[in-house]
Amino acid sequence: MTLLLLVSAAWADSWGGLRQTAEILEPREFVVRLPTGRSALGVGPSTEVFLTPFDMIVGGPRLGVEQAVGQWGPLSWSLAPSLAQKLSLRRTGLRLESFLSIEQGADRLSLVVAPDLNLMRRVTLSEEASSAWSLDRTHLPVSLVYDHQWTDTIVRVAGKVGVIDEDRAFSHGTLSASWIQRLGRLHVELGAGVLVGRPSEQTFLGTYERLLVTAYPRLDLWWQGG
Amino acid sequence: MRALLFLPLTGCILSVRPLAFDFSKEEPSEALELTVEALEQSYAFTDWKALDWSQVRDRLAEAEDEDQAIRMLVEAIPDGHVLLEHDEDKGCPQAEGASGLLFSDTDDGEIVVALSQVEGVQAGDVLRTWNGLAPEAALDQQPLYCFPVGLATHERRRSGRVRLLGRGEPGATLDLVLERGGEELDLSVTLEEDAGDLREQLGLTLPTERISARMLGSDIGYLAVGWEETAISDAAVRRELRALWGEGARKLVLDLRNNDGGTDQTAANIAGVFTDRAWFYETITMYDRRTEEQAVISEVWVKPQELFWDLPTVVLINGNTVSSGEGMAMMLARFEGLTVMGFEGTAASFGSSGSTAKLPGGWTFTWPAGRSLDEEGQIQLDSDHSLAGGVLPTHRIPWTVEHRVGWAEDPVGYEIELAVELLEGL
Repeated sequence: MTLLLLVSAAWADSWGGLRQTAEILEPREFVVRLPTGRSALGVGPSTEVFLTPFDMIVGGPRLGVEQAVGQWGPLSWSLAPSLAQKLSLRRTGLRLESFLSIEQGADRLSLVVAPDLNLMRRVTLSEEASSAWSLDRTHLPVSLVYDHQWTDTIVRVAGKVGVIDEDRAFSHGTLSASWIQRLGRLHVELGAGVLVGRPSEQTFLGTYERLLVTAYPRLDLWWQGG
Repeated sequence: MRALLFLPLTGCILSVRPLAFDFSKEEPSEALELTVEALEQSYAFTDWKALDWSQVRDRLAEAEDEDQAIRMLVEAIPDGHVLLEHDEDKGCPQAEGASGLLFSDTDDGEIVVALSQVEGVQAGDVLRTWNGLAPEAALDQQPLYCFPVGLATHERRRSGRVRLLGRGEPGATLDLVLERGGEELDLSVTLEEDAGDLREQLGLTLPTERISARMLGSDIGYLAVGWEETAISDAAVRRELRALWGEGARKLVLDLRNNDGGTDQTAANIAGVFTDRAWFYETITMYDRRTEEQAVISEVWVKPQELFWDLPTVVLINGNTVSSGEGMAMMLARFEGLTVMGFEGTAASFGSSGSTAKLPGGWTFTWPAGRSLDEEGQIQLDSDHSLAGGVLPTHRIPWTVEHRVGWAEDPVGYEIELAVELLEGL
């Protein structure tokens, strides 16, 4: 079972605090999510900047810009280039996320494509020291996220496939379903997630070949205002 | 969805995980039988080691008491991941007396005194008879079941028996005939209660520090890895190597002796500091209680890390280098420019530890639930039915009297000196 607690200042109509959509924050509107979530600030009619305190793969903060590309009726599209940097300057991650969302009444479907390049600056200690950048990991995950919203509730179903992960194609996928409930300033998300396959990511995940049904208790402090 | 990547912190694979039994409320004989049944069902290497559990039961039936029977179960399974622990560190009476003599065997088949605290006996004296028995016959009499860890190879089992020659029940007498320069020396030694740690006395030294480093002279660095867990370990290795290089180290002694393992990925990451390309490390399997078979759960690769140590390196190993410590040694032995050095091979025990049974009397018995497979899907490093396995030194220190005595006098420093000599000659 998945338990996700979101503590917020107030419920807002915006979906920005639950990012995985093409929605851009209004100018001066902001979302602060701590300790690990994506914090963002609207800086223009179709632009926001965002900061993720710690990217688990790179091992440092991620800073990016999300720019609305266009809106065609219920369809909206945004692009979000970002850069993650380990503070030792030995690892860098370049990512370009594409959010394509279609909204119909209380339903929203989002396609998220997020090509990711991780670079490593390797120091060689021989008689002399030298260093060179090299490609550490290429990753192309594609996610499909479906949200249905009632007044105080969102039901979310999401699937993700690792289309490319280093030198392998379609090596893993995840599927999750969750129930997000507004309780005043408290948002509670209850869900279940399953991982199938073997992502190359080693930091915490290992490379499981079997079904992995897991729990991830997470406390996310969320302040949205503007 | 991204949060799913945090899942393993608290996650589980439903049916694929080590087993945990509590037989402590059972009658001792029943608890032992239940443990053997659990092993028969789930032990990862029954076929590989050609274990016959009915023969194991017959052997246990010869035990004089329940404690000895539990110990004999450890002895019966040649696997360094088979462990016996006691809530109050209960010892083994048959090995708690010390003679003041440490024996060692040599390449020419002799058993010699390597260290002596007995008046009139010198290091290098050759054992001729032990309580009236020739040395080889005496070895067969030794209570190998006093080792709380399974000894996986012929080499390890023989070394264990040689160690036991100088020990026995407190108050017992050892009648020895030793030879020095063609002259025979008869002596009787009364074994005294040894207050020291039995594991240590039996040579099962445990590491005291995760990572330690220092300079050995002007251009040789020394780095010891006692165990490896989480990214803290491989980050510490990189940090210490940078510091050593900064102090002038252009050669390295990497000490994996007594390394008692850790997490496979961390071991692979540490090995990755010594190579500039990716290498397959292992496929991990685990007992699946649903199918009652081994199931593949994970694949681990050695990948280049943020630091590449591209300088001459001697890696020290010994029989206590076990589990992922052996995995590191296995990979380092394949890399160019590295020499693996030691008196003996590693513990030949590379399975996934973790299944347990609590037994009456405060005992806990542990055995491996999973295997490590090579790229062809074959079990790697764990000793097979012929009791061969582990990582063998590419530069084996000869078992001469001089080296055996030198090691006995300085178990930590002697091999380091030899490694330094080797590096200086490169």
